[in-house]
Amino acid sequence: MTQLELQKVSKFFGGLAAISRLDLQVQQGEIIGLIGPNGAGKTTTFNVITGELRPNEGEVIFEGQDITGLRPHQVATLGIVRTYQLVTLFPGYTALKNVLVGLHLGARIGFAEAILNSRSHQRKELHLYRQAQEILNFFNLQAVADEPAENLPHGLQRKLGVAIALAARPKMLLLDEPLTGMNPNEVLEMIATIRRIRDRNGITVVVVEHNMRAVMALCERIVVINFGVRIAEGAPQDIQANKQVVEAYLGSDSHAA
Amino acid sequence: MTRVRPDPDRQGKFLGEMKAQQKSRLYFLGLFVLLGLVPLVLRSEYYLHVLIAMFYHVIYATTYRFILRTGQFHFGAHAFVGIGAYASVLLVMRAGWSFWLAMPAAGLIAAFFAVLIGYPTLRLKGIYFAIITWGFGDTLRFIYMRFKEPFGGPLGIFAIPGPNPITIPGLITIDFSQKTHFYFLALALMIVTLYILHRMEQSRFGLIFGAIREGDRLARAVGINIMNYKVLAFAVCSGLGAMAGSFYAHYTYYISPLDFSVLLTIYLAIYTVVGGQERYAGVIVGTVVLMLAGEVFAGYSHYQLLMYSGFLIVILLFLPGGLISLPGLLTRVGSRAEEKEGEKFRNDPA
Ligand SMILES: Nc1ncnc2c1ncn2[C@@H]1O[C@H](COP(=O)(O)OP(=O)(O)O)[C@@H](O)[C@H]1O
Ligand SMILES: [Mg+2]
Repeated sequence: MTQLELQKVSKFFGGLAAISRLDLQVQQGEIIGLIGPNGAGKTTTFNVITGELRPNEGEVIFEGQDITGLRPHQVATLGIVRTYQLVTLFPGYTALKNVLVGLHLGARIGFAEAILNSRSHQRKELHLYRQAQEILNFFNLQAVADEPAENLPHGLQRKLGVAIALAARPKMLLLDEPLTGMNPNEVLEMIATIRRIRDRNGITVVVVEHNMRAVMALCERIVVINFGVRIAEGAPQDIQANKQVVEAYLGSDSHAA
Repeated sequence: MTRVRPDPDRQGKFLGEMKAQQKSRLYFLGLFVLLGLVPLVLRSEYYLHVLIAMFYHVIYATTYRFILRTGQFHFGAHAFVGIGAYASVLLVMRAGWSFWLAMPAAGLIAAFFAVLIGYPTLRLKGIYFAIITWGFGDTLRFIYMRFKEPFGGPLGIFAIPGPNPITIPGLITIDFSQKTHFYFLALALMIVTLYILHRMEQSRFGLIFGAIREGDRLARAVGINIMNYKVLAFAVCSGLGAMAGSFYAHYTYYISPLDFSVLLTIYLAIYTVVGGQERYAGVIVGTVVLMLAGEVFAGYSHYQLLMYSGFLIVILLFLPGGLISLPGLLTRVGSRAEEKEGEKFRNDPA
């Protein structure tokens, strides 16, 4: 079942088309890779899906609903949550509090009960705390729960970023270069984690990533874009064999391997 | 309390904070009792008056500061205090309401206005929001001046009745014939306000307000409707400030448009900066210290704003964290060497 569909979406910055009449379909429950050289329009595609940018033309359809032009918090409420290429956290907050904020959509705490701090409110808070702990455990971050996010080493910050997104209970996760700056061991761990997110919770995952080995290992389907245009689509082995793709990468990007 | 998984490593700061929160109600009650004893010792009406004025100014200042902390350069606190005062006076004197209904109603009316002007304007940042809220306050002031009916015009409204007497038969009568009665009412209002603000800061709402400060983009990405949170803070704080405004009107028996000029907001801004806005106690310290200084130099009231500005400049130059940062600063100077060691450690990633 097609869960997300971009129909001829374009986004211009001045005269430059960051993405141009881009079509993209994401199936429910798949792990799909969105790849392309630097500046190809991958992040812009995410920004358009999540409502951080309004496309100049085209539609974004999520689960049958036109979500073009919705605001980011509305898109998140519908179930699409993203992470950022540059690690984006609540830097002064501890890892635990970062995840607690991520739990926002499921929190359901009323203003009056929070002020009165009633018994039932305390139970809800405790429940949220447990959920946050579970998520930290899932990412193997429990040891740094009380550590301010800004003090964490880069690899853990990346993990925490995904943990926050997962806390929002998305139906679809958009991960923008989740492996950048990680050491090989962390990369393997993250690949396993992303797989588990999908297998355990049935969450669809769209990954933008430059690490080709990781993309090949993780994704079931790959879409390649260059200069904002889709140039190839298919299973990992097809993509590897695709001349156009190899050219695009050799032409402008050294990450190709 | 409920048991948490017996994981010795994860007894966690957060649970400790939660536990402490359950006790905080007691601290506020303790503060009420403690300050409630003051009239037993302090017989002078003058000093009681100074304290009463301090109490409602603490309400103005702490609610003002909360709005600042949501990232909005609010410059119209006087508008909402004024709405509270005029609304409650009119409800009592024209509609014949009891003060005890009119005061909360005045708070709700101010909160309603805050929602009304909040949605279109709270997305404005910095000086733009300041100008709009300032303008709103001055517009209201113009309306009070221009329309003698029902606002009393430039001369204001006279002979405002005090709060209606409360009688618990056979036990006690509080008829607001004495300063102490007002003292307890102001004290109760202040404690309740401080408790509400404290909970707003310590509860999940504070967590979200802080998250919006820490990273608004990520906050949106996890589904937080920032505008709703800003409007909520704006409305609740404006409403609480308005209730204090209502108290002010029925305590001084007289209000005029001059009471609610931008000067009030300027004072609040000075209290906030001088005391230090990082922490909630800072604003209280700022209000108390500056108001006491104001009393000491009461004979020179023409120069009050000048004196306050002097304070402000000194603080901005030498103590940017405000008076509340002073104790921390002093201990740090005392152990500078150790601090440097600590710094090194902290900057070391992992
Ligand atoms: N906010 C922006 N303003 C102007 N140009 C932008 C902006 N965001 C992206 N671009 C441009 O759009 C193109 C695509 O960028 P981006 O989507 O970030 O690429 P990718 O994520 O694939 O590396 C680039 O040429 C980039 O410079
Ligand atoms: Mg990018």
